[in-house]
Amino acid sequence: MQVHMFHLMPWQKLPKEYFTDFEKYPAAWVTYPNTFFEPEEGADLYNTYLDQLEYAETLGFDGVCVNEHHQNHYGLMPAPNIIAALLARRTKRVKIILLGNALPIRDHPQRVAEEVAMLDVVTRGRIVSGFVRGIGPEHYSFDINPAFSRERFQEAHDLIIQAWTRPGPFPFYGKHYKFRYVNVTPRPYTKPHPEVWIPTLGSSETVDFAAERRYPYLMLYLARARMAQALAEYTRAAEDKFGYTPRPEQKGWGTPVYLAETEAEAHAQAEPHILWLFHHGLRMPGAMLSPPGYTSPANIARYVKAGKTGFREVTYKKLLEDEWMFVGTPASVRERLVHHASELGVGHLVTLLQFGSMPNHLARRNMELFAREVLPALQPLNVNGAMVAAR
Amino acid sequence: MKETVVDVQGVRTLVREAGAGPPILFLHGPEDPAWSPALARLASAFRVVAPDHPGMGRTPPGPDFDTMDDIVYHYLDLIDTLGLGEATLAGASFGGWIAAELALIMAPRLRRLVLVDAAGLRVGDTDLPEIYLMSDEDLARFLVADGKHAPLVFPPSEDLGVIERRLVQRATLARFTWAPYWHDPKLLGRLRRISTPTLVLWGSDDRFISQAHAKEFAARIPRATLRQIEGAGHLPHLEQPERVSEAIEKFHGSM
Repeated sequence: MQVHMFHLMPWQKLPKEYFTDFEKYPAAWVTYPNTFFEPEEGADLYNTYLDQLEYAETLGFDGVCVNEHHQNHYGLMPAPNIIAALLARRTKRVKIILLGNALPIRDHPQRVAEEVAMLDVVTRGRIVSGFVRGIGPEHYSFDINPAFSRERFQEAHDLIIQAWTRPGPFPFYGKHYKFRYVNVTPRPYTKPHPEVWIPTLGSSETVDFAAERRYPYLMLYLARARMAQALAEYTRAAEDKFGYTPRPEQKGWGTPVYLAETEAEAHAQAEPHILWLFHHGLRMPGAMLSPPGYTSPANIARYVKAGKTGFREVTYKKLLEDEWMFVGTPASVRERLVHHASELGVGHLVTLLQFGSMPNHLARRNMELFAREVLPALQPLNVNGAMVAAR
Repeated sequence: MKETVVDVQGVRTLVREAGAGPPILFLHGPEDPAWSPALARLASAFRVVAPDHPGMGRTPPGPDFDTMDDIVYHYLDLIDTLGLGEATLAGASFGGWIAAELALIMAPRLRRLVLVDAAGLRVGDTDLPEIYLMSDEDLARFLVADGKHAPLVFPPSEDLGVIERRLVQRATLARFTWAPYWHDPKLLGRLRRISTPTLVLWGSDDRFISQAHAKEFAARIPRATLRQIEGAGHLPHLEQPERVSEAIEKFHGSM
């Protein structure tokens, strides 16, 4: 199994009243004023976070993950390809995993094809190209009609894959994207193209999309039982509709992890920062997370029946009980992660080791404990010899 | 009132119909489409035809319906199918926008046009208030002048079918109004071509689409009359059915 470190790069300095006045600050996204961002503090934060990701290579992680979200204080990475570029020449070994580029909100997906190809060439094939739809808020921030999000995602995906694999120039004529000259240069280093992952919120259409193309399927922010269910849906789709059984490398599990010398210390240190993430970083009205049309009628029915829990109602107790995250001593967490990773049959574990308002010294100690005490027990799991050779 | 499903070029459109007399085609707004008291009153003087828009109420989404003109062409087909060429056309809110676009194409054939708190314009340098961040409950309260009328917009229901239909309806509405937000930048300049006698009815307490829009419609459409409906918000046909039906009847008889 490959074990990666994911960073969200949260803005940590929310004003005091943000924590108490939910009326005035209903969201950390879209409408939350950007004047609260302080560039001097931002310079420190970006560099601290980038140092953490570089440190992950030193500590033996297999990959570092970055993502794309816009106009928010949950994470400061509107341009994941820029973060990846900052890491590209400061790392030598790790995979740089984009989780991922949000395709529907681009009017020119060729730009994504170009940027990822550049990164892939410069790093000699260390790039993993995740593609996502972007979550609800992005459709407000960029005024992209959520009704067309899925169509644009599929079309932009097709365009990018063709741009990477077909000799150019050639025309591409879709419903949303029409180009007379597709001729992306540079071509990617990896043959036939950089590995594509699909990080997802788990809609049935995305399950099929990923399973059909054998793209690794990855979810974050889920109770473990729900995670098992989601991965089982992916396996079932692959087996029933596309006639194959997914290998471990096609399944990823994302989870926050926090370690300290004692259980008590670990909980005392983790709680405020994970609650910052769920209650404050992810704060947004339901309609902002899932704007009208973003979800297909079939999935609306699914969600209506399931009865969703908002991030705001999540308690620390609930996060632990339902295993949305793993907190404790290295020995106890190691045992649980080994058990569940084996059971889930995942080939990728994406760990969130800095989250919310966690300061640098705690994040680095967490990374060190994890790398020393847990990582070596996880890497030998669920290994399938057939993979990665080509990369 | 009878409900029929009319095949409009493959779109199985739910149509509510009652009354006899000159035909009036009524195009609904963001509310749950229903046979409202305003329509019932109009049916004593008119043949009232009230369809559910594609993807709203009980009409399924049209295939590849992506932009306002897909809806406009759907209604041109419906008008031909039902023989409503000489009809009076009335529309509220989103339906008012459809009616205005239809009138641009059909103007010489229409008898009368009634725009009730119609969408479709951007006036001044101001967008309409954001409604897609509101829950259905908040939206219903926002659209009415008197809070106790909110249940008329989305009648309370535990029925999963109704709840799902409402989600689909909201998605349909967003599909056509997300960007540009609730308007067509070209419409304002084209209103001059509507030669039909037009009644612009506007809720005195509409918080969604302001009076500035009413004035713009009335000023740009050559033969337009503006009338306020006191005690109504964005959906006067729900809150003040008598005043609305009286105004329409009077307008119809006046020329």
